[in-house]
This record gives sequence, C-alpha cells and structure tokens, in this order.
Amino acid sequence: MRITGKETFGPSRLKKDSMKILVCVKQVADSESHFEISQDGKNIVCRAPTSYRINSYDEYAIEEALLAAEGSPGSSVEVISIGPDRVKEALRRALSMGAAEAHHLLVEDADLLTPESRARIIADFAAGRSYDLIFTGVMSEDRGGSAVGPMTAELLGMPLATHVMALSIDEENKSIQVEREIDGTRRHQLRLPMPALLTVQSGINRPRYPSLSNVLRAKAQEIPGLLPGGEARPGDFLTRKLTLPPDTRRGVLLQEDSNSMADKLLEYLHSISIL
Amino acid sequence: MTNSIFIMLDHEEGTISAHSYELAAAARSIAEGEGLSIMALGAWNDVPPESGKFARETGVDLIVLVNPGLRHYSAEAYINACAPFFIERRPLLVLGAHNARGCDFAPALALRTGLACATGAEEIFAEKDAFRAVRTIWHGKVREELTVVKPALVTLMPGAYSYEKNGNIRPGSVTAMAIDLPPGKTSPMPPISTRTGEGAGLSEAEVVVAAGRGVGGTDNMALLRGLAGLFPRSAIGGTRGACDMGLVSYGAQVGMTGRTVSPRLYIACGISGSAQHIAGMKNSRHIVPVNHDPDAPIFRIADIGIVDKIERFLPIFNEKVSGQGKTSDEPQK
Ligand SMILES: Cc1cc2nc3c(=O)[nH]c(=O)nc-3n(C[C@H](O)[C@H](O)[C@H](O)COP(=O)(O)OP(=O)(O)OC[C@H]3O[C@@H](n4cnc5c(N)ncnc54)[C@H](O)[C@@H]3O)c2cc1C
Repeated sequence: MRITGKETFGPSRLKKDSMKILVCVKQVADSESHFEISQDGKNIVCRAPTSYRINSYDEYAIEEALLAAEGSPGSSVEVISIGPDRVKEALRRALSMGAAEAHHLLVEDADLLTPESRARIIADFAAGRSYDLIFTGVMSEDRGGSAVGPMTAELLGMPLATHVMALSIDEENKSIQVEREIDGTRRHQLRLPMPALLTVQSGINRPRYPSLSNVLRAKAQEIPGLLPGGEARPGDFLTRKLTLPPDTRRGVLLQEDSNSMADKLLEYLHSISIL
Repeated sequence: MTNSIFIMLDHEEGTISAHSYELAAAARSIAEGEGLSIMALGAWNDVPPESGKFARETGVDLIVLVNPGLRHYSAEAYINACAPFFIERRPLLVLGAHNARGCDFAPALALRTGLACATGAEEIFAEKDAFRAVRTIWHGKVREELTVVKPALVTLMPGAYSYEKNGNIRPGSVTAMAIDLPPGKTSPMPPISTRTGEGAGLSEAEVVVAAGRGVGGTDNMALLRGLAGLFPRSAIGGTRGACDMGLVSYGAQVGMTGRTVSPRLYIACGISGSAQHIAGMKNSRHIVPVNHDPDAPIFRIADIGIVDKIERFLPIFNEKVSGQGKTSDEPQK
C-alpha cells in the first residue's frame, strides 16, 4: 500500500511500503493525585493540583509504533485520544515523542463511557482511514479493563493480539509476527496479516523522551477537537456506584517520625524473631 | 436467554489452569438459590487430558469444541469457535479468566455474541434483571460496582474466588464436539518458553526486599541492597514497574507474570500494591510496606506499614540495625 500525496523519503522507499499507524492513547490522573468520590457515587473528582499523564502502557504503544514507522521510511504515526480538552496535553506529549498527527475526540464526561462506547468511537474514526496497524496499551492504569483494544479490533474486523512483548514486521508480505506474554515462563507466537490491532505490554521497549525539535513542533501544532461518531448501543451497565474499598487491613499503619517508626519496625522484627 | 452459566475453561494448550477451578467456584456461588445450571466450554484440537478430573472435581459438565485449527491459541480461531456455540445456546452468563488468554478473546466474543461485557471483576452477584460486578479501579483505590445487563460476559481476576474440593459433588461429564472453523487470517505457532534461572534465589529466600517504581532510581537501590544485607538469607525482587525502569532484572519480577514467592518477610519498598503484583507475594508470612502514600493499596495487606519516603526511612533503619549489630551484647527484649 502506498500513501499518495506524500513525498518519498529516499531509495529504501522503493523496496518497502510505508505504513499508516494509529495509536490509541488515554490520559490518566497520576496515581498519587488526591480525589474524591462525588456525592451520587458516580464520578471520581480530582482535587487540584492533579497531574495528568499518558497511561504508561500507551507510552510503550507509542514507542512501538514509532519504531515500526522508523523501520519503513515514509510511514507515519498518528495518535487519537477521547476525553475533555485536557487530553490535548497527552496528545501533545505523543507528538513530542515523534507522532506526526493527533486527533482529539471531544467527550466531556469520558470517564462514564463504557469500553464498548470507546471502542465504537475509535472504530468509527478509524474506519476508511486505511491504517495498517493500530496500537494501544494492554490496559489503562485508571480502569484496568483491557477491553477497548480488543473491542475495536472486533468492530473493524481486524485480527488481534494482546499482551504483545515482541514484534517484527515483514513488510513485503504485509504481515507481522508477535510474541504475547502469557505468564512468567511462556509466550504465544502468532503471525497476523496487516491491517491488525495490537495491545502492548510494558517492557517491550523503552519509551523515548521527547526531543527538543519535536517538542517545539508539538507546541505549534493544531489539535482540532472532533465530535465523536460511532453508534452507541444501549449501555451494558445500568448503574455504576463508586465507594472507597472497605478497610480490611490486618496490621498497623505507622505515620510518625522516621526515627520512631524505625524503632517500632525493629521491635516488630525482633518479636517475630527475624532480627 | 436460558438459565445457564458457562465457564470459559482456562487452559494453556492441554493444561487446565487453577483459574478454571476458581471460575467454577464463582459460578457456583451465583447459581446457588437461583436455579441456574453450570457448564464449562473449552476449545482445542483435542480433549485436554485433565478434563475428566476437572469435571469430576467441580461437578461441572464440560464441552470441548474440537478442531485441528485450535491446536495453538489465537483470539481469532477461539472466537470463531465459541461464538456460534453461544449464539445457539444463549447463556445467561459467561465467566472468563481475566488473564492473557481471557482478556484476549473475551471482549470481542462478548461483542460478537451480543453479551454485555464487564472485565476484571473481583466479585459477582445475580440480581433480578442484572448481575452486579465489583471491581477495583483507580490504581486500586476505588471500588466500582456495576450492574451489568443480562445476558452478560464477565471476566474474573485470578484469585478472586477460591475453589474448595467437595467430596460429595455429583461428577460432571466431558463431551467432545467436533466443529467446523472458517479459515482464519491469523497463524498461531508453537508457544515459546522464557523460563530462566535468573532470580531463582527468590524462592529460597527467607526475606525478600522488593523494589517498586517509588524507589525512583538506581541510586536508591543501594539502600535496598543495604537493607537486604542485614538479613542472612535474603534476595532482591521487584514489581514489573521496577523491572521496566531497569532497577531489577526481569528474572526477579514478582507477580502474575513473574515469580511467586512466600518468604517469612516481604519488605515492599515504593510499591503501590497492584492486583498483579499481590498475586505473586500475598502468601508471604509477614508483609512490611514502606510507601509515602498512606492510601496505597499495599497497606491493606500489611502487618506493619511504614508511611514514609524510601530515601528518608531506609538510611535511618539500616543504620539502626547495623549499629545494633555492633553492640549485640546489649540485652534484647
Ligand atoms: C497482564 C499484566 C501482568 C502484570 N504482571 C505483573 C507482575 O507480575 N508483577 C508486577 O509487579 N506487576 C505486574 N503488572 C503491572 C501492574 O499492573 C502494576 O503496574 C505494577 O505492579 C506497579 O508497580 P509499582 O507498584 O512498582 O508502581 P506504581 O504503581 O507506580 O507504585 C509506586 C508506588 O511508590 C510510591 N512512592 C513513590 N515515591 C516514593 C518514595 N519516594 N518513597 C516511598 N514510596 C514512594 C507511590 O506512592 C506508589 O504507591 C502487570 C500488568 C499487566 C497488565
């Protein structure tokens, strides 16, 4: 497949085909940010100062996409994120890592979207744009559902592999070979034709830091807010209720000056005859 | 919609996992009093050797869809095999394992078969028109209850339910069902082993000092090594996050996709306590986290929890213990 209307990037372009790659990125609140559960128990409200960042698994997905694109000149990486205006920050971060284009699908209360609705929005966006590969992280750190990627693949009719820990692209055949992490001692191996959707496990690569030139480019780049399409089905979830987990702690929590905590820990270790 | 719960048998090729038994326990807890039947569904190129044992011990009737194309796993073939079966049988509830197999096929299978989908649940209950699924979100700090419309597919976290052998149960049956599979786009190949000797010392260690992302950098690892050095039979492990940061080698990763340890003492330094990490260390005899966030979920399984920064607490503690070593003639309490 060739992307028309783009200049060629040197002789290797003649042998290899370029790829069009999409990475689905979620913005999450930092794990240590302060939050409250809203009165009606439906929402998590972050208390300032909240720092938002890219879901760390998605950073591995961005890196893997950039590596794949670098392996076949002329390829480009686009990123997409669903959420309120602040998710533009996450998209800008992806641009400064090296993505070429960012798409923001504007949904104010995105936390209330079911995984299926998210998948429908992404699939609606991606359909007809002829991506060769779609990447995302194996899960989001805030909701941990691991469902949006696989559902998007299903809606687009693309073959899927999740928990990907190694990837090689055979461009002539338009196929990829992946290793999926099953547990500490075993990986599955699959060959998939492109287009395909992959969810990436942490540790597959080392996500790069933004380069200065990309940071400057990302700053200047327009990120238009698009309205999501994708037909919503009646929701899977009738209600959602959030609470703080019950305190099932079996031991003691020490919150005092370091010196006295050290004394108490030492005493404890003596009491169980470990020191 | 019928009155049946289907368990997706969790099997790695022909080996049936412990998770399958947990799913049977979960199904039983829901079926009780609701008059629901429980069945299990597997899909492979043959009937897994331990199928009889599974059916006998859990009392669940097992159906295995058989086709040569299912020899090595792919989401595509698995879904192509199971979807027509569920469309015909119209189960009320399908339970899957929330692991690298279940997470791979379950969400798409739910979409294709018109089942509502909730993933990563820790508890599930039947209500009148819906199921109630309980899961943990927001870095382990918030409990989310979802009412999931019927019929539904729900994946359950490993370890969420425990299976207990019941001698009085009526043994289940095993049925092989040969099926047709449409040609797939995906070509699965034989799995590869990534077993290494690295980190093997962790299983024998009496004391495990484990690093998390909160350790921050390699400089602070010296503090953890100093701490480990205070105990005669100790080893250093870490979370996946710590391995990803290069603080600890992947061979020493503790958790669902790493090693399982049960030392006498587990000191968790800068570890939040994700379900995947806890799966590998929860059977430690004594658990001592050091973390500056008092809301970190790891404190829920602590015997004694230290709310402090690694870089502040460890130098003081290490100093105290080694100082104590020098004056060991001092009477101990
Ligand atoms: C399929 C799958 C399998 C997985 N398998 C595993 C597995 O086998 N093992 C595993 O560990 N993970 C596994 N994970 C990852 C897991 O979900 C978590 O991301 C990981 O365990 C988090 O590691 P952490 O606790 O080090 O980091 P974080 O969750 O980032 O926690 C860091 C903690 O350090 C604290 N902290 C920060 N600074 C300091 C300081 N200066 N002093 C003290 N405390 C500080 C913070 O308060 C925080 O609680 C898996 C994930 C997936 C999707």
